[in-house]
Amino acid sequence: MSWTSIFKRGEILTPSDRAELESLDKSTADLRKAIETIDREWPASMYRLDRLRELADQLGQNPRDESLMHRLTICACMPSSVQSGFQHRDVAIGKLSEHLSRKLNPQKVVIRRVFQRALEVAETELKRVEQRDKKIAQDDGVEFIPSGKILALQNRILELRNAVETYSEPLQDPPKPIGDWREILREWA
Amino acid sequence: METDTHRPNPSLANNQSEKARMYEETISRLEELALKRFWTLEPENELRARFLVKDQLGREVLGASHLYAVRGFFASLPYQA
Repeated sequence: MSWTSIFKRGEILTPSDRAELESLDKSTADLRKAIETIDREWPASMYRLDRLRELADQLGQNPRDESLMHRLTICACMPSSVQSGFQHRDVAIGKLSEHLSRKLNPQKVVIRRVFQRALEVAETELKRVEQRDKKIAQDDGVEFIPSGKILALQNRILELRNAVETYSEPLQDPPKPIGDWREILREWA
Repeated sequence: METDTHRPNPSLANNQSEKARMYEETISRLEELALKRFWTLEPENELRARFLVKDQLGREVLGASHLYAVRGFFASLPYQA
C-alpha cells in the first residue's frame, strides 16, 4: 500500500484550492519583501560601532555608493545599548508579521478543507478494508485481527483529525501566524 | 423526616438510582474517549468496578483500574481531536 494510491494526485489539494492559496501568497508579496529586507539589512546593535567603522571605511573607498550611505545611516540610528540589541528588529518584524498573518488568515480555511478531504478519503478506505478483512476472516472461520494496513490507516486518521482541529480554531485577532502552506500540505503540494 | 427544627439535605440523600446513572454516564464518556483512539474500554468482570483499556490488537494499554484512574489515564494522554 502506498499513500499515493489512496490520496490520488489532484484530488486532495484540488487545483482551485491551490490557486486560492497561491493568490493569497501573491497578495502578500510586498509585506514579505519588507520583512525580508528588515531581516537582512537591519544589523543587531551589538556590533554597531564595528559595523559603523567598517561601513565608513568602505564609503571612504567608494563615496558615490548610495546603498552604502543608506546602510551607514541605518547603522548610525541603531539603539546603542547591548541589552536592547535585537529589540528594534523584533518590534518592527513583529508588527509586520501581524499584518501578514491577518492577511493570510483565509489560508487556514483552505488548509482545513484540504485536511478534511484527506480525512474523509482515509475513513472511507478504512471502512472498506475493515469490512473486506472481516468478511475474509468470517469466511475462513478465524478471529479478525486488524492488519498493518488498518493500523496505519487508523494512525493516519488520528493525525488528520488533529490537523483538522488545529486549523478550525476560531479566528482570533491578531491571528496566530501559520507557516508556509506548501510545507503544511507537502504531501499533496 | 422533616420537622420544624430538622430538614434533610437533599444532596446527602441516599439516591442510588442517581448514582447508578452517573456511573453509567462516566463509563459511556470514557468509552467515547477510548473509541476516539480506536481503543476499547472493557469491564474486568461482571461487577463492573474496574475496567481495562485495550487497543485494536487486544493488548492492554491500561490494566484493571477504577473509573477515576481510567479518567486520569486519558487526561494524561496528549490531546486527540
